[in-house]
Amino acid sequence: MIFIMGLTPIIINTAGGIRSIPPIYIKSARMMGATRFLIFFRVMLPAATLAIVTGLRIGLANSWRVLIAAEMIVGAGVGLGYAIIQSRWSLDFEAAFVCVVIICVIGLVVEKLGFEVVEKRIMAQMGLGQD
Amino acid sequence: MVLECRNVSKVYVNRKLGHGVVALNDINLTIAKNEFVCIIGPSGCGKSSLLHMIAGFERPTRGSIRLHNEEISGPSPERGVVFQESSLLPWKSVRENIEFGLAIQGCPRSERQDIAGRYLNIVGLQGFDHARPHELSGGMKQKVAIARTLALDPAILLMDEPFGALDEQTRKRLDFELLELWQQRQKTILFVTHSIEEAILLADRIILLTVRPGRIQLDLELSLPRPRNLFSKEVVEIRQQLLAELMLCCPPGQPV
Ligand SMILES: Nc1ncnc2c1ncn2[C@@H]1O[C@H](COP(=O)(O)OP(=O)(O)OP(=O)(O)O)[C@@H](O)[C@H]1O
Ligand SMILES: [Mg+2]
Repeated sequence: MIFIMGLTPIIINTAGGIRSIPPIYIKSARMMGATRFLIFFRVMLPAATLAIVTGLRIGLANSWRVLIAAEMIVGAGVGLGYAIIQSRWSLDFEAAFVCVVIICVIGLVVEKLGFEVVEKRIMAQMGLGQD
Repeated sequence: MVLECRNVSKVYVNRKLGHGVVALNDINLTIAKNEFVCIIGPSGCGKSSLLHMIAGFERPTRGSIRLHNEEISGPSPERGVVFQESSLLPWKSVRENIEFGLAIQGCPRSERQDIAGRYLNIVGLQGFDHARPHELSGGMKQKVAIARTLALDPAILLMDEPFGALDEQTRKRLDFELLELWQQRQKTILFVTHSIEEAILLADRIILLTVRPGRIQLDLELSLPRPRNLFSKEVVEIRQQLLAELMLCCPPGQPV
């Protein structure tokens, strides 16, 4: 479940990213004598990097959510999701809130420090989105 | 003779319409070594189609295209293309873009760097080695594209309205620079444009295509010395002749 929720956006985004590559890149690579193999690894993959990173980002966020939910439902005995349920049962609302905040903070940190930085770097390199 | 097109026709099959679109009809064309040939013609007459077939991206529906007497079977660096829109890879620097084609050919690094440096100089972009394409103006991008294609040392240079997206002034300057480059380095060039003036400034020979389906309406040899003055008597005459021919093939007021 965690796997599927995580993998689907990664696949969809990668496929979409590759499909939206301007055909002119591939044409000019063919003109330069590139083989299919080279076109894939040296042109298509780099051109789709941004979409792939976005896919990873959504995928990871989904996985994170599903993971917490799974912990709540299945009750693995460890983990933040399980901890929330635990504190609810014991009417320890403060602990529950702390857990929620921790979940948010972890999500935010991964988002802001991880993906946003990477995305910005790629976008700056390709000269996108800086008008 | 470098290039020979014999009875070349191109029909695009359109599944929705259920019938084919005849883009080109029976083109016969030979281009000699070091010749500068311009193709002009109204929009949709098949100029790009012809160029794409010579480049090897598409096959002619009928007829044959030969380079050095060898049938063309696919794209190859011996037929270098400069596209109308920018085709530089945005994640590579100017220098990396020029080196990319050479790297694909398996050219060793040091040689690659030499060649890239040389062509950067030729197009007057020394110092922009590490710039990214998005940091360049449209004209500079096209210069890089030209350098990249020249670095492959093609037998023929195919240019599809390479300066079509640029402003008049920049285009004039690049026309002039291209001419200098061609005179110094002896290249065979096939250049598509829809500007009569640009063709007259550049060409040894102007091929005028008719409206779709494109046929060769006129194959005009220009033996005027360069640089040409657009307002000299001979040039004005040729301009008028070409304009008249263009009117003949597509009179105004007729739907395109
Ligand atoms: N890939 C394709 N599939 C189907 N039809 C095509 C294709 N490419 C071109 N055509 C058709 O062939 C005709 C000639 O197109 P082409 O692009 O060669 O014209 P052009 O002379 O280059 O025009 P322009 O000056 O506008 O660039 C057009 O009618 C176009 O609709
Ligand atoms: Mg065209």
